[in-house]
Amino acid sequence: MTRNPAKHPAIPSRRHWGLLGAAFAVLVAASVLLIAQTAQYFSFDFRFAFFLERPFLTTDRVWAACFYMHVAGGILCLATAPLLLWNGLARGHQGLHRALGRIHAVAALGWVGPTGLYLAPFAKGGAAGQLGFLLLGLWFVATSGLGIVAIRRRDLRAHVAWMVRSYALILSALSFRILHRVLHELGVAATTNYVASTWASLVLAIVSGEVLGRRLASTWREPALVPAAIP
Amino acid sequence: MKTFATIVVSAALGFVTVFQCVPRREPERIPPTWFELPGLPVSVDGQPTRTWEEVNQALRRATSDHMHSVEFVENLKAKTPETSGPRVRITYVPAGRSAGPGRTTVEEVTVRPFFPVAVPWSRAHQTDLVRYEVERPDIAQ
Repeated sequence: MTRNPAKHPAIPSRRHWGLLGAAFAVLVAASVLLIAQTAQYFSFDFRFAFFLERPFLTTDRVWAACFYMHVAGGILCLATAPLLLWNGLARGHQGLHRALGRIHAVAALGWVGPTGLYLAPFAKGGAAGQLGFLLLGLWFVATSGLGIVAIRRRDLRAHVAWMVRSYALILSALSFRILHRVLHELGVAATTNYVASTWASLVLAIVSGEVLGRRLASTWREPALVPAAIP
Repeated sequence: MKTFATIVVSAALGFVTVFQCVPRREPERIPPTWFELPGLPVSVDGQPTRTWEEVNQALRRATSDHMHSVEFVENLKAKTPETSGPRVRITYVPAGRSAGPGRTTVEEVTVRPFFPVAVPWSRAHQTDLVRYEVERPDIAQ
């Protein structure tokens, strides 16, 4: 299916870049808050609510190691993903993009993905909650892996689409916390809230990743054709 | 191939490193939210109970409403915050002092629910975090 060039301009206008910049600023600010919050786990203090709810798991060093790897990888992904996306869209320094991309790939596929899949069966919310995290982990590994395969094949459009999908899934950590807090304030019961937040953030991540990924990939042009268009 | 080999090696090295860094913890014999005293329970706030399971259920019921109004602070370095819930009176027959015919050796204690730590984003699970301790034991004949 071909897109109408007038309706879907190939090159983002200045206004679109402004909107993108504003959206990025919000995302980065929220990500920084989340990173600052989750980094506290590296005090190796087991008095966090997350551990107190799971007193028996914290004595399992494999589980604990996976948890800390998951957090460390998540922080790296949250930190590198916006830089990669912005740098990629703005056609910035390719060397920087590659270096950050390697860090991101190791964090996503080596740390966050496998440990997330290991941790999923221990998640709260019963089978529904565990299935939600399992699907999130599987889709995250798939999208990140396909994004890396695409760039190895020099397929830039596919790379953009898959990495945007992957980034949307990373941001589900953020949307989950926001939804969880909102539902809690609305008086939703704890278990229902946890499962609902898990699935709502997962669906939101998949849908938004799909829409934005397709959109960005469809408007993508080879770098050599558009240098003057970048403001 | 080289990319994925790098990822696998990094993951393995990362796991080994983190595994070594994670502090060892001894398994806890009982869940930390569980409250029990040596002996047999008689009542919680005047309501008869037969097992410590019933006592724990009563404790949770008594504290859950209160806990929903508690605000958590976001300072992990702070000492245990004195965030106490409503006191609960528990009567029980201490172990080794069973109440036989004509003898009533019942002990009454006041139990204080409290939070051992305060962290954000945990307000929905507050009742899972409550701990109980005996505040002031006194013997009721």
